[in-house]
Amino acid sequence: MEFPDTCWSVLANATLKGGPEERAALEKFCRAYWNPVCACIRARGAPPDRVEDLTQDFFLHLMEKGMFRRADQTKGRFRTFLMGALRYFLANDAEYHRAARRGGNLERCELQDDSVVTEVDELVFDREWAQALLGRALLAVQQESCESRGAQVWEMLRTWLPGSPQTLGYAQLANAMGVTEGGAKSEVSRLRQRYREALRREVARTVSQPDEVDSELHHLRAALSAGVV
Amino acid sequence: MSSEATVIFGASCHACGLALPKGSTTTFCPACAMAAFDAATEEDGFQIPGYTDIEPLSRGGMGVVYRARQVRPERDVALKVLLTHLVDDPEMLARFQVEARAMAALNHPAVLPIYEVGEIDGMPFFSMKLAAGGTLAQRLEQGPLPPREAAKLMAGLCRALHYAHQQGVLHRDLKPENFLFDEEGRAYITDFGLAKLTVTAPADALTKTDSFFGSPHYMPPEIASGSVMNTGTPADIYSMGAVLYRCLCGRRPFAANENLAALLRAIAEESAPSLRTIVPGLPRDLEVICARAMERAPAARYASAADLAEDLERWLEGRPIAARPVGAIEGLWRWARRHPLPATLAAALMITALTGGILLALSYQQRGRLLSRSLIDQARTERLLGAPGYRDHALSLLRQAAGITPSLEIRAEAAALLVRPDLRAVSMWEAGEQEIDAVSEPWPKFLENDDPVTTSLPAPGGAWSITLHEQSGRAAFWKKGNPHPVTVWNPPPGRAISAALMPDGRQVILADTESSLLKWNAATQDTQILLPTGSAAVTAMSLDPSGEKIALGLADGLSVIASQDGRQLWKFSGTPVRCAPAWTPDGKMLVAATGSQRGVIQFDATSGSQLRAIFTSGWPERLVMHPQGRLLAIAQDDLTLTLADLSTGRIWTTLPHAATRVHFNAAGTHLLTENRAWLLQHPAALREWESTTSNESAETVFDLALSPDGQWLLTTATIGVRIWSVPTGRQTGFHPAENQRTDAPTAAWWLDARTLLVQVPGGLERVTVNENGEPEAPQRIVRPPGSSVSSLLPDGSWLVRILDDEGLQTMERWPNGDSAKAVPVSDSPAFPTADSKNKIYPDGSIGVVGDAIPFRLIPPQSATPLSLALSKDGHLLIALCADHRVLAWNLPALQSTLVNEGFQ
Repeated sequence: MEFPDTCWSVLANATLKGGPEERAALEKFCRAYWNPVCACIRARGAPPDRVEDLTQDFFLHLMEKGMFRRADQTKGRFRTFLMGALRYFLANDAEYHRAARRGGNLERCELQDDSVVTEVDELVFDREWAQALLGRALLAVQQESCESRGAQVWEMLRTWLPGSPQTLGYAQLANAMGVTEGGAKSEVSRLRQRYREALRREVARTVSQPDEVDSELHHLRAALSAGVV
Repeated sequence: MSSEATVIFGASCHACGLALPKGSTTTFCPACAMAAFDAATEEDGFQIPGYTDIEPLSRGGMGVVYRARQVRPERDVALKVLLTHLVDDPEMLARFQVEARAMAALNHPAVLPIYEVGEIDGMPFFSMKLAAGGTLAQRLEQGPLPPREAAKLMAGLCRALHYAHQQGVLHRDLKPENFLFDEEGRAYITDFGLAKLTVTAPADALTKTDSFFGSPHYMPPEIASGSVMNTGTPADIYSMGAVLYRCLCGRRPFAANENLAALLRAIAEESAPSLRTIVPGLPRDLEVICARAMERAPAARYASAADLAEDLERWLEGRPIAARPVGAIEGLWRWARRHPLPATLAAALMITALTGGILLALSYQQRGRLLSRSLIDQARTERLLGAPGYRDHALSLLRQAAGITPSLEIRAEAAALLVRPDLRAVSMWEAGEQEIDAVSEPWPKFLENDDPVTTSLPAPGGAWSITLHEQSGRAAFWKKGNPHPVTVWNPPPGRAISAALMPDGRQVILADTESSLLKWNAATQDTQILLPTGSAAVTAMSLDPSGEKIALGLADGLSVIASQDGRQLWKFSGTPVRCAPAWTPDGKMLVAATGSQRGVIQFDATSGSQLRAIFTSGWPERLVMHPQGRLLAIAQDDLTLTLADLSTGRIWTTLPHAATRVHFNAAGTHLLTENRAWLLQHPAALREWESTTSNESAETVFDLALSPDGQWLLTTATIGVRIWSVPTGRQTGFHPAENQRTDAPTAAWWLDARTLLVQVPGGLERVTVNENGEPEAPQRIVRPPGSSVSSLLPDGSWLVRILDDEGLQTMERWPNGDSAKAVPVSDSPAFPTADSKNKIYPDGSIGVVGDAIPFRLIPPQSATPLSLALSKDGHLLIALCADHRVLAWNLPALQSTLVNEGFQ
């Protein structure tokens, strides 16, 4: 599997041309950021049965309006751009539905007032964003590991990923891999390094210049810990 | 990706696999997520291993530049990192790598040295010498440089640029922002972000950004106008000239416009203001040097950056400069200026050699390859654009490329040029002195003060002439030496007389006089009325070469009458005829500008049946037949002159030239107008076969096959089978066999030298071809249901596919086509193709495997070859194209033409 491109230029082309290649890129893009958008919409109080529809509408809105073309690709972070676009979309959507209800012909949802939930929904979005990036980083590492070591070893190896509770010892891993304990330790260390690099790389793709990677990581880490409370 | 690596969305953490709290929508448990982010974050912020004290310096379109301290060896460096959003763009990634490679390849004191290439967070970076003295752009913000300083600076930078060119690196984005100074004040060229490694780039590596690159203010006109996709060193030389311009006067050559399009238009169409109008005291020589570097025609610029450097150094040393004021060289470069194509690096080379400049040949192998590549690319561009005169010019480029390194590619390009027609502009005298009379001012010029002559028909020997007049529409008869006309004919009101001279040189046919169509004898002054008064208005007229038929252009169509008695022979009704029709010299074909579309229609002169239509860009105003009847010159109202091949209906070329008088010389070698002449350059060694069946756009073309004796060729299409004579290259017959199915081709085989087997879905026929190549009445062959011929085997038996009721397929062999003797065949042998040795490449070119060197034939642009056959003697390579055109290359003739033209 190829990872979704977050590259601005791909998206800009996609909205301009809409050839099969660009459409495929868009599809991947939507899939990659589906969860943060979905979670944010849910946090805004959309009825459960409307969340998916609204998410889909949002992505359609992005493509139709050619938002990527208008955004300044060289400034700012992709996350901020997407969050802003989502907020704008939801505000308009709420307005639209209020108007529709006044007209009495549509009975759909009404989202919470934008001003009230701004901070909360941003937090939800950022947390989901962090999760999405992490998901892709993990997928990269998992794919690499499964290919070189097999799925079984991966299932053991993943318990050494940062944060995972340690349930196995190196001896067991070494045994499963058919290597020495030292070999198993270096495998784990390599895995952690790859995971770290993969996550940094994912984050790097969403900022505008390389020196912003660490501050973005900080920001997302903060969003994650706020979510724990 | 394998299925095992798919993340399964469920209620457990994707990292550790532990169950997530109920109702959780996330994919990772908080512990895993936070730990991962903690592990990924650098405590001390942005780091690049091996470097400390990283601070952003500047940011460009492609990368961020940081100032940093390298740990080992300890020194200050500049780090350029690709912008993060570009990392997934393969083209930008490639450009970044090209920049690093270009800079690494250049070891020159005025090119910033590169130290290290690496990657950080998946983004490539490279480190280079830190030039802390700012950019030339920053210096120029304080005003222009003193002339000597500017010349010295630019001379040094030109030397560095020349070195880069020698290494095969084109910069393509030279501007003051890309010239840096170090703390000691030494200048460097930097930012090879748009560089092109010409030596390593594949021939067709034109990318989307190749067509538009660089900073607009310093962009050469050929790029700004979009007329060039791919440039060579002249573009860099122009940019250096433009930077010099700014150094000298403090201004950019073209003022900033509110929009890019306006700026590009200004660059493309105007010349920069003269430097001395801005800085009156500027040394004249410097102005000349700058103007030479910024010449609008690439070929007129300095041939190399070293030449520019040298001229600047000459000026610095007080020696005479090599560049001459623009006025003096203007005449020399007139052709290059007029020519819409980029004048080229090669032209620059050639002209430099001609004018006694330095010889640039072969001092470095890489330079040779660079030049050769550039020459071939330019020759190809000329061929594709096909502007009149391209053939000679492109051939000369290729000859020079071959002089550096001969290659099969050059031969193929040369062959592609030689098989195409073109015109070479020549002096009018070359066409023959007496021919000029035919296009010169008529005698007399006017009838009664200001009624200009539109047509003049001088009698052979020039003793008298008939003139037709624009304002009055009258015709006048003049005798030599007599200032007044002898006879004047008047047209009916609002109409104009047309006239034609009979072949005997004594009689004249006059149409639309008051007594309508008449024949008038100049010797006896007798008048014979052919069509009586009151006939339809004749707008145009012409006589056939024998003088027996008259083609009349009427308001409602074309009418051909007998000149003897005015009897109508045939008529094509419908649309008006726009100008006098043209007859072929044999009188068999008539071409008239009629019909609802811009163009002409070819008619069979005897039957009046339509043969072919030729479409043009404008409405035809004048048709002139070539003395051999093969070509037709069409002057059009859009101020162009088109030359069309009547045997195929193809356009030879279209000249952007308005002509009121058009003429072929008697030998048929030249085309003349009132002020220009061209030599006709016929295509060598490639012939398009003449078809007599009109090409139906809806027909699908399938295959071709040569008869066993090699005399005839058959081609198959959905509408039927065409028979062609190989020796004459003409279609001789057509056997209609309608095929309405798109899934099954029309197939035909030669059973013997004169008999065809034709198969369409639902029908199988035996067709005999007579000695003239015409198919005779077909003989239907009854075949068992479900059977279809798959191929003919060398022993004369047919390989037949049998499909039974249940859809099962079996193969049978029918000896001599006799189904009664059918023998089952287990496997279908390979279908013998018409010509299995030679092949068609995906780009439409043809690979020829002959006794000679393997060779690639590039067909004309509009032709898409589908199938090939080689004539029995191996001389003709015949290609059937998608539009049912048949093209035949004469391989030995092509070979010898190539040798004659200097391509061994």
